[in-house]
Amino acid sequence: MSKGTVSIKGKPDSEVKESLSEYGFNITVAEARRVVELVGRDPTLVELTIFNTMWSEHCSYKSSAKVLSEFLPTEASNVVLGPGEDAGVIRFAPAGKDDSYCLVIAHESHNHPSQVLPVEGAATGIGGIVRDVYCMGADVVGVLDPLRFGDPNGENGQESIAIARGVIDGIAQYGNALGVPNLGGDLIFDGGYDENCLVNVVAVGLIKESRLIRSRVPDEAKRTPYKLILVGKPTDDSGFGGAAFASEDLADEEEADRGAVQVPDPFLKRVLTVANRRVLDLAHEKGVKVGFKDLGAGGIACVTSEMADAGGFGARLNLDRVNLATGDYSPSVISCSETQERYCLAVPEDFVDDVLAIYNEDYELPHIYHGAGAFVIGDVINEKIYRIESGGEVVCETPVGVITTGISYDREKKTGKRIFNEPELDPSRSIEEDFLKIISSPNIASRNYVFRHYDSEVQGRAVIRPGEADAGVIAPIHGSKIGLAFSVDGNSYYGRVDPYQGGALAVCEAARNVAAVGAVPSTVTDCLNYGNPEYPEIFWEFYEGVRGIGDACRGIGLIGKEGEPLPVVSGNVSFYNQGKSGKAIPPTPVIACAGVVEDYSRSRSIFFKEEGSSVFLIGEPLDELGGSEYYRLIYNTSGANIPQADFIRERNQIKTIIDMHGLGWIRACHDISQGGLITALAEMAVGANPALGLTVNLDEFGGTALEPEKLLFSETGSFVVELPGGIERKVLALCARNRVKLFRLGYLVSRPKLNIIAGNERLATWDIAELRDIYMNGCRSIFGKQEGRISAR
Amino acid sequence: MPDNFSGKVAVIQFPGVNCESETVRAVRAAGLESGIFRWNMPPRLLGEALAVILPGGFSYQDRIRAGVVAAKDTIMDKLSDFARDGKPVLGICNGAQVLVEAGFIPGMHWEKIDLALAPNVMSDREGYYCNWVHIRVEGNNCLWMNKYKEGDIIPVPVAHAEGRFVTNDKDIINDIRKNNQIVLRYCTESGDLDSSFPVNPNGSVENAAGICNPQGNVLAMMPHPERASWLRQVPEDISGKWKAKRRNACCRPEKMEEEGPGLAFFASLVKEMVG
Amino acid sequence: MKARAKLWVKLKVTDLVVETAWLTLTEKLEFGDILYGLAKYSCWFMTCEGSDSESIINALDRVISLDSAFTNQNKHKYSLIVEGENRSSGEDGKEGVLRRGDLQPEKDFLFRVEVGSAELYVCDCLVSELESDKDKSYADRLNGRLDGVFVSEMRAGLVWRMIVRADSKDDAAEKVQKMAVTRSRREGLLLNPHYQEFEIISTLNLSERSRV
Repeated sequence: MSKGTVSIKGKPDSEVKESLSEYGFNITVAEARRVVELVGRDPTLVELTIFNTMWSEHCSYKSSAKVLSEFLPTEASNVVLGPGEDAGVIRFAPAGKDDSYCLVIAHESHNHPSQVLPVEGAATGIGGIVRDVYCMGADVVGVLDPLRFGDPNGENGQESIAIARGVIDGIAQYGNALGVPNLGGDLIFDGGYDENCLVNVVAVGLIKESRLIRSRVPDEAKRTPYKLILVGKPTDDSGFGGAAFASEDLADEEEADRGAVQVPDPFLKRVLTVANRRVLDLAHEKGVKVGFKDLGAGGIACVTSEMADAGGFGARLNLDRVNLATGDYSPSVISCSETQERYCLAVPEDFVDDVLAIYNEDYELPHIYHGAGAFVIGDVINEKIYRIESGGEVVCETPVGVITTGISYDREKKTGKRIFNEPELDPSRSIEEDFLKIISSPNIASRNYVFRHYDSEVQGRAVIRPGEADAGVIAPIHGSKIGLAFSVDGNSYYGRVDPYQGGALAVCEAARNVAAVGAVPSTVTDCLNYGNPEYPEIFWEFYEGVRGIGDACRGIGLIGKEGEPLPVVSGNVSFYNQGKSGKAIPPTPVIACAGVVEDYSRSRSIFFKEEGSSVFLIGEPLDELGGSEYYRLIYNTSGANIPQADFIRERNQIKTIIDMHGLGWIRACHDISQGGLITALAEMAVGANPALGLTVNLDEFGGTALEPEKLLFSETGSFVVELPGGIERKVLALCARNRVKLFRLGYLVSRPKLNIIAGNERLATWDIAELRDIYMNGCRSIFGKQEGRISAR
Repeated sequence: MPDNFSGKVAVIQFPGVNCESETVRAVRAAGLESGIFRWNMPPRLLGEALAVILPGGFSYQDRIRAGVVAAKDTIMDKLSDFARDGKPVLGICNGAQVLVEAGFIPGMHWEKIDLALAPNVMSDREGYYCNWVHIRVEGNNCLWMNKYKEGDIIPVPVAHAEGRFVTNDKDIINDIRKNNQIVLRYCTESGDLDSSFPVNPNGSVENAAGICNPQGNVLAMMPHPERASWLRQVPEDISGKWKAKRRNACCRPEKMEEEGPGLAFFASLVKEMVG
Repeated sequence: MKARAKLWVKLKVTDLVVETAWLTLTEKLEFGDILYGLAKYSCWFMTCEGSDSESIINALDRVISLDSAFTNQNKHKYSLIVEGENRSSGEDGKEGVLRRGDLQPEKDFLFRVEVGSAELYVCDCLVSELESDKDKSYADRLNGRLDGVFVSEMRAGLVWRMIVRADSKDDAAEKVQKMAVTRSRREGLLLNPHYQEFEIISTLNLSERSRV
């Protein structure tokens, strides 16, 4: 083992530090010494490369794991698989006698790569997240993309817009070509992301529980010899050090890290996907047990060691058998590079030929992409040893558990001091004019321009598309009325004021959004985007955010299952989100919520439907305009009174909305969030076909002492519903039973005006057609027609 | 994957296409047997098929030009004979691009390239565009449309980056028009031909959304009928007469499974084949 | 003064479009024994006005380096060449041609098959779109950011560099045309003449070149 070892033992810290940095490793001297302890000698270069990757924040969750397990509820009666594998799984509908249909969901960030190369970074993000779902054996039925970009009108405005455009292109190029529909996403512009955009991605899949594939070597390997097969793109150095890259501050010279950005290939992925499906189907037909996992951060070494260890086995690899791209690659690179579009299978020896034939002959992988294909690269062994050979030499040999165990830190946290003030309202301002500013704001205006870049129709399952309602809805099982609804949320403006509320409110809004289409919120995933956790204030933001998410999940719970939490089944932590200046992003926990719709034919768009319908507000606007679009745009301040999550109120409101769907009352439903009640009403009106109008009398809010501006622009979570006329008594009774507040807003008329009155006084009138023009063009005007990225430098 | 296509509608899976499964599903919903034909399967199997559909997606990732690489595949030799025999061939979206790049459409000069499906021209963007549009049925020249009546207005989604029918040869357009080969045109919800975006979503000449060969057995269309084959697939706020139908199915899940505006393309084949 | 500027941009990583084109031409279209090499560049040919070549190239270089519609140094290599229309204006006679970038198109030949003793020609074929407003929008984009330099003419397109076995320059041109222009299912690949045009912008006899 002397050849290619890195001297650590007995060397002074300064020398160790120097040699670590010479090799480009990110692990600390202390961590390197820990490696020596674990392997019992100086590690080989390959071993140290593996530890360097596996112990990156991205792979090891070394800063976050303890906080996550302290606060997040991961168990409920619908959970099949919680966090730990590539994706979480819940069951949502029976499939015959002893089986269930399951939803598979995964959620990740691809922030740093997207900042550097927006198109490729975002595309690779989609490519990575769908692999996490595919490798559970599932068919991917949708993706969602929560995006955060810098202020388009700020100092870096041009660059922020160009990054946004590139990211949207990247998502479109990959997702459209792969044939996975876009089910939604959200888009927030905020100066806090000027130097570090956020590109989070969610993928959802469908599988029967009996067909679930685990990312581990099956038990059968104790009795039959199992082989490890690597399939996909030839390994190169394109993503070498990617996991470590995701866990670094964005360097001053972004270009310095170019080696870490992977090259996505949706075409090869598509062919792989159909071939994988064939392999898994054949394994099922033949009753063969296989293990299947995608290659992500940490490459071959990570995937094979984790699969072996999870099954209670060891592995022996021969790097000489790995298909390589043209070029010369060291064993370290081959072991840990993050080359895209690869999977690893553990299959019994007598099934190997079938598998190779499907990939290499039926689907002609070597012809689809030069050097691609399926190759046996190693054996599963009963001894729990992880060994890699290359050129006849052993370049890595350790107990397998040593590699996969990981490390953990207790990071220091310190309460951040924040002082925020409420603005004084200026009574001379015109609500009419102010609202036009709000509705044209890039954070409020229609995202239709963006959504049209994405294929929302492929696979033919779409019921409600992005932009039509608060959540996207698909009919996943042909011939069944069961629907699935998805939403992603996370408002950075709340987290700035109070990171706990930032986390809690993200869950509340995501849950509210799926409820708005009649779905029972059934699981959430979280992508936790923060700055550098080594700073105690940042770690405090993270800690508070997770605490908020945990409380919200327990507080809202699983509707219909008394006492059970809304389970968190998957997620991702993204630290070190800060730019050149060292300024961290605002704390941004992003929540994806999946809901189950009993009958998708009851899920309606947000748009007003019929003349004569009654329009109600479910929930009460409170003096909670802190972080609101109104305060920021009109008073240029965030204010102090951000919404305070009230889980009982949220739960009762959500239950009421689901009950109303069940009763078949809902004609349109929209939650109140950014921009408040008046924005919600305008959004419901501008898409109405035929055009409909409404007059809201603020006297209906009689008891509340709020000023009209506050009533109209408060972002307290609630719902607007359009219900048939003549059922008011029943509605009152239902709301009383569920202990939710109800306000009558008016009824729909054919005259297309939105009026606000208070008693006999007219406060504001807008023409719906005019609102539509402004609303539809707010986002388009940012993006214009130019393509490509312009740097500010 | 079946190994026998006799009496079936073969849906060809070129590497990179991604609408093969829902296309098979729509054909089956219309009442015909259908299966996925992997591009490198023995060509003779294709010869036995009842009809062939080239589905949507990104064959060879639209590299060089959408459809052109698949158009050069070996299986196209067989498909050429099949189409010339008058058997039904439908290309949807990427399939349409393949048919144009193979010279099956417009098909007056067989296998000669007389048209292109060029990059979309749109007023406020470039590249890919996905949305629901309306198309109008023109003439009754095409066997894939014999269940429609002239003037029918069909809501249907488009999703492509290269969908602009164009030719640099004026005579070709005249011939196509003379032969009534433009059988589908983009239109407003009320059936007016408006050549501006987004009614015409890609700047296509003559608002052409679908063009068939002179014999009417081969059709290349950019919109996706398989994504509009069930009522549930239609957006509830769509304009035109399908809105009432779709809204009427709200809270009635069984109605959601009823026929959507695009199913008749596949049902036309049943009528043609079975009578 | 007026100057001609050429910008050539190439991917640093494998260009998958070229890979597919190569496979299609050599395996599906049977140009296997004619085609010896294939590469692709994004190109912009411009006429610029400015005070002198030096200031023109500096201004252009700055703008194209910052705008990913032209180059992104994370994924591209590029070559920018500015040539004064009046070559004699340079004091030492060399000022006329200035270069920037990390790509040298004139030396960038990738052979994919054994060359042996074949007579080889390198043809650069420019493919651009007919009736497209792209040229204008590229020019506008540059002019919006250039200081003291004005782009008065612009032609943008893809250049396919094809190394072919041929008996003469004319023969090479004919073979290249057959590979490029899609006339029928069995002829041509790289462009569809109904919306694209094609021009051989240079032909070079490789053996002549090596003698030089």
